[in-house]
Order: sequence, then structure tokens, then C-alpha cells
Amino acid sequence: MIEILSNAALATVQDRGREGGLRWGVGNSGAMDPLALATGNLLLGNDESAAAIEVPVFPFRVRFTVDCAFAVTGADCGATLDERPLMPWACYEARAGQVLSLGLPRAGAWRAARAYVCLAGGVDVPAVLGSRSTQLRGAFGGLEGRALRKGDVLRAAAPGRAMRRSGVGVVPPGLQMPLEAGGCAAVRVLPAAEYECYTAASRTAFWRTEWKVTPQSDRYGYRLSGEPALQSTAALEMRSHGIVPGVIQVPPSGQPIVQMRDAQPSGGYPKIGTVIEADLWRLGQAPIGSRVRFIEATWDEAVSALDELRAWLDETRSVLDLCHDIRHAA
Amino acid sequence: MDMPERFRELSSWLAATDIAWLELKGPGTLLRLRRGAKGVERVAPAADTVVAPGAGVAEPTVVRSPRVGVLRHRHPLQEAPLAAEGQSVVAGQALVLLQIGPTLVPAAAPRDGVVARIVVHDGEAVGYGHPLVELL
Repeated sequence: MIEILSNAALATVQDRGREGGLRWGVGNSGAMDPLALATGNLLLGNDESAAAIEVPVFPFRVRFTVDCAFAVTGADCGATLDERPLMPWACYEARAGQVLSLGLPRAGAWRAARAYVCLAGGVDVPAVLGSRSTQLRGAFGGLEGRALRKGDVLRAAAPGRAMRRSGVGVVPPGLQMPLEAGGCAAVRVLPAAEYECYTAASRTAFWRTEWKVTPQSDRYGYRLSGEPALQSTAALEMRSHGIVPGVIQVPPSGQPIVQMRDAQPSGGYPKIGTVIEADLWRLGQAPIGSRVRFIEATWDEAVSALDELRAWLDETRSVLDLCHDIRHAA
Repeated sequence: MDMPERFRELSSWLAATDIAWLELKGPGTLLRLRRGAKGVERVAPAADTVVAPGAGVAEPTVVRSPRVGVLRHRHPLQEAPLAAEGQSVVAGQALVLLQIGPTLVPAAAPRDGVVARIVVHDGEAVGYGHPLVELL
């Protein structure tokens, strides 16, 4: 078990998300960086989609009350176990009583906003509608449907499981699969239903602008700012319709909003594009104040980008399994 | 498995191969076997690889590669190397990393000490058992 020692603003339990519930008005939730979550779980030999703690605000500290293997992925937060520095994107074994501390994310070779604390077997909270993810809007899932706070105790599903070699890590996927446009972090976007309703100048600007992630950005959505404001050729009035994480809406201000994991399942603003599913992890890690560009993609490119992620995870799993087997053989 | 039994088992395996030298390390154990014309014999451990905690160690402890991989002096997210020559380190501290595909496996200090020499350049490919770091 672990005890939360920080007043952990907005740290939540998240797994891969609650899929298939949009038709009932139940949003996805799930890790903002599902690749970091999956990698942390692979490091521990967990199911890839096991639940972990998503940490968006630092510092963050937990105390282990039993011996337990863990992995920290996502933002490099200069993690320490008691006084001992840990490497990012690696798994370790904690002894009962030891304290894991995460500091402010470092601006290194890959700047990120969120860290994931994964535990052996996954964080053991009840699955609700097929997922352990915290659904903040509906106040269910995760731990009592809310963000974690000081004094909360979470259980690892399999703290005693034989783990992989302590200290074994993974080269962060942000370094192995970088994506930039003109030196600016980028995500790939499919033009959406109302794309053609925007002026030619706005459509060009959409792809060329370095959009700034404003402080009004969170798990629900990212409000971006940039010049010029996006303008449609005629006023667009729409009824509310289904939307998914990744949809880029344009409110009357002309400053786009990207829907993220805790997005409402419906909305009425026109949609200029959709960030492809395979790149949502990149956006999920974009720090407030950073800039991001949109790269136009096709459906086929979006599908093959998902295949690329799958292949990366499969390769990582097989090399880690090899480490595991060799350890057991020895 | 106790050591005499393990020695017998490994000896019989070794005798059936063309492997000339076998070294088996585990917690508190070190077994070295040589296959020669007279069969397999056990070799006494050499002084340079035996960790003697608390003893006045004059010979450096050689940290060897646990795997085949590409050596990394630093974590790819970080600027600073994990260990620099002349730096004091504690037992279990990662000194260098071996990159195997997307994974990073640390080579850790077997005891407290001072890094005397990092033998292999960053980015160099190493094989199993290759000397990586000398620890005083």
C-alpha cells in the first residue's frame, strides 16, 4: 500500500480509459499520456492498461507502507526514493517505509508535464463501467471519484510480484519518436467536418501557427492561443453533436480548443480538425506555456501512426521480457 | 542448489561443449570452471574480482557488462553523466547504462567506492562481461 503525503492537487488514478461509453454520455477519462502509462506497466510486467497515478502538479510524495515494485514514467521529475536519485522511465523496488518524491519536471531533452507512478499489479481501485479511471465530472471511478489528497491510501494489486531487474528502464518514446514542425513540437491532425467552412487564410494559418498552450488547459481540454484568430466564411450555427478527445473546436473567439480525456461527450462548436489518436499522448504532455503546431494528416497516416505505437510497445515488451527471462534463468 | 551439486551439474554440461571458461556469479558466490585436456576443473577466484567489504582494497574492482548492448554514460533525458571519474559512489548506484533496443539496463557499483576509470566510450557497443568501469 502507499500513502499520499502531498496535498496532491489534481493527481488522479487513471488507466487507459473508459471506452465505449460515449453513446451513454460517459466520457473517456484515462491517462493523458497513455504511452507513458503503458510503458510504466510494461516495466513492471503489468497488464499494459493497469491503473496508475497521474501526477500533473509537483512536488508529489508518497510513502510505501509495504515492499512494492514501482515505475515512474512521463515527465522527468528528478524522482528520489528516500535520498537515492532514481532514473526516469525505470522500475525500482521500494521497501516499506520508503518515501518516493517527485520534484518539478525538468526541462531536458524532452519536456513534459505529467508523471505516472505505476505500481506492481496496478493501482487496485474498483473498476466502474469497465475502467479504473477517475471520472471527475461524474465523480466516479478512481478513488471515490475524486482527485487524491493527503492521507489517502492506495493498494497495489500485486506488491509481492517478482519484478524485473531494479533500475531497468526504457528510452522515453518522446525521444525515440520525436515529432516537430519547423523546430516546434507538433501533432498530426485530420481536417474535420467544418474545415472547409474556414477562410483560406485561416486554414493556412491553422497549419502554420505555433499555437500556445494557455493556462486554461487541463484534462478537459486545451485552450490554445495564436494569431490570427480563425474565421469562418459564414456564421456557423450548429446543434450539439458527439465529440471525442482530440477534436479541435473553434469557439467564436477564433482561438481553438482541443478536447482532451475528460472532455464532454458532446459539443456545439464547429470542428476544424481532430488530433489523431496516436498523437494525443504528445499533446497530453505539452506543458502550459509551450507551443504546438498542427501537421495535416490523412486517415491512412493516422492509422499507421497507431500501428507504429503498437510496434514500439511490442518491441519494448519483448526486450523487457528477455531481461526478465535472463534474470530468472540466472 | 548447493555449490558442489551445481559444480557437478555445470561440469557435465561444460564437458559436452567447446566452451573453455565458465564464470558464474551470484549473491555471495563465485564459481569459475575451466575445461582443459583433463576435463573440467574448478579455478580459485582471482583477487581482482572478489569484493571484500571493509578490506583495504588496492586493486580496482572491475564492473563488467551484464549484457550485450550499447554503452551510455548518461540517461538520454539528462545532460549529466551518471558517474564521473573521481566521483564517490555507493553500492547499487548505476554507473553506466546499456541500451538494448528501447531498453536501458544499468551496470551498478557492487560496493561503495570511487570511480577510477570509465573504460568504454559513450555509444560504444560492448559484449557480455566486457569491462566497463574500474572502481577503487
